[in-house]
Amino acid sequence: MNTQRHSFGDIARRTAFSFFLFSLVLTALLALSWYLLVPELTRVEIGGTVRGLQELKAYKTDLEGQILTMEDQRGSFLLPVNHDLYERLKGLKDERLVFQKLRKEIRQVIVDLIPGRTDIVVISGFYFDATTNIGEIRGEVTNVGPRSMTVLAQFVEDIGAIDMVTNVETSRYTRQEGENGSFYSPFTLRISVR
Amino acid sequence: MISSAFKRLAALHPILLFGTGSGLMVIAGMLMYAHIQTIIQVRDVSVPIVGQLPQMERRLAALTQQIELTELHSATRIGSQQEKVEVYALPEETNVSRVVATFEVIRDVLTRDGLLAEMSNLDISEPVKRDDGSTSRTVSVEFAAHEDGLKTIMLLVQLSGLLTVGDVLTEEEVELLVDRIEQENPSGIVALEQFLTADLLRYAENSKTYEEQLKRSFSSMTFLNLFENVLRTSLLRDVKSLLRSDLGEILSGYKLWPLQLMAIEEVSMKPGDAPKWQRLGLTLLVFSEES
Repeated sequence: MNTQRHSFGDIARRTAFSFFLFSLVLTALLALSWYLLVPELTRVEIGGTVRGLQELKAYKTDLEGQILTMEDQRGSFLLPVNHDLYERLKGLKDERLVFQKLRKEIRQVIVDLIPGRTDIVVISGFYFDATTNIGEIRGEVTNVGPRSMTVLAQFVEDIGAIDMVTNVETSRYTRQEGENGSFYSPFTLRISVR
Repeated sequence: MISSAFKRLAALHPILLFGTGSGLMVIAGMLMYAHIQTIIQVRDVSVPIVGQLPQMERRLAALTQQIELTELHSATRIGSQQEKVEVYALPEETNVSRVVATFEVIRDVLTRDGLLAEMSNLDISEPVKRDDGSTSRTVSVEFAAHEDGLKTIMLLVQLSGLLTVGDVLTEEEVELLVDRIEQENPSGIVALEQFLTADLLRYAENSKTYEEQLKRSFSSMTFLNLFENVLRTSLLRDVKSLLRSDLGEILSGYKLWPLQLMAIEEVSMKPGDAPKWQRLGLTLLVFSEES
């Protein structure tokens, strides 16, 4: 049995050319595919125009830009007052009407606090500063017996859960006894609105 | 000839052949990566784009058509609307007597209707220049009014400075109508434009005519339902009832409508002397354009 041993140099000499040839053919085929086949396969005909991948992306961006510009243009024709200051002040006016929504939400909280009872939270004052979007409500929780503080805590929690409310600061929780022996919890809430 | 070239190449030093082969393999790897990326891009980008482009092209064509149509009509209107803004909504100087007259009309009409028990004196400040280029005066006033009266007062503040139907509708409401029109009948934009630019007072006086004019451009129930819904849920309903009421008629009769642009500065409310009655304290900013 012939057990001829080959050195690393021999192996390298014999395989070098094959490796080179393989790499050359593979690279050539891939290059041919990249320059001839891929562009051909990725081109799309839209509206009679053939576009490659990059051209498609550019065309889409261009169309989006044109649509946005035209929508703005159309908007300016639909609402034909071209007066920046007037538009800004109208926006400011609308923003400052947010307190109406806040009042409505607070009313709803009062209605939902204890179903069927609307005499529990008595509001004695509502103030809203539209420049800072901070409101203040004063009042008392009454007609719930000795639970007035617990109901007040629930009321504050519900006010804080209103979407537009970002923060509620409460005065201290206290329970006081009225002249007729009934309990009530006075409160002052400072409400920050979004 | 080829075999001799092969022999010459094979005779080159193995290190040179391995080096060149490795370099070519790196290039081949990069080309493979580029192929894979291209396939991914075709799957993720090209195919969806191809689906969107015809729709976008149709939209662009519809928009182009709409702009051509609206441009013709709006050219005649822009001037007159601009003039109204400068004369009524945002004048160069606040016409104090006009502001006072407006509040007097509010007091007289609401008192006569049993919705107002008391209105305080009007406290009007000197004009102050603001950073945004406008000038404002603060107007402070207190009312003892029924809840319905308060609603009317707040609605008037809300409608101050608004001139057209389009001013009263929100951006979302206009957007809804425009989207529907684009899908159903792009040329109907002209009818919408006429509706949106209609003078608010004239619209309130004869709303059916303006509404029917727009409805005639569309036959489908989808648009008509949407339009009816917008009319029902938007501020237009309140505008109609306010401007058709005695208060609206007197305001327009005394040429106090459109109102000058106002915004709330401070509000205070306290329970009044009877159920459903409130004491309302209002501090308003009345804007004018700095000259």
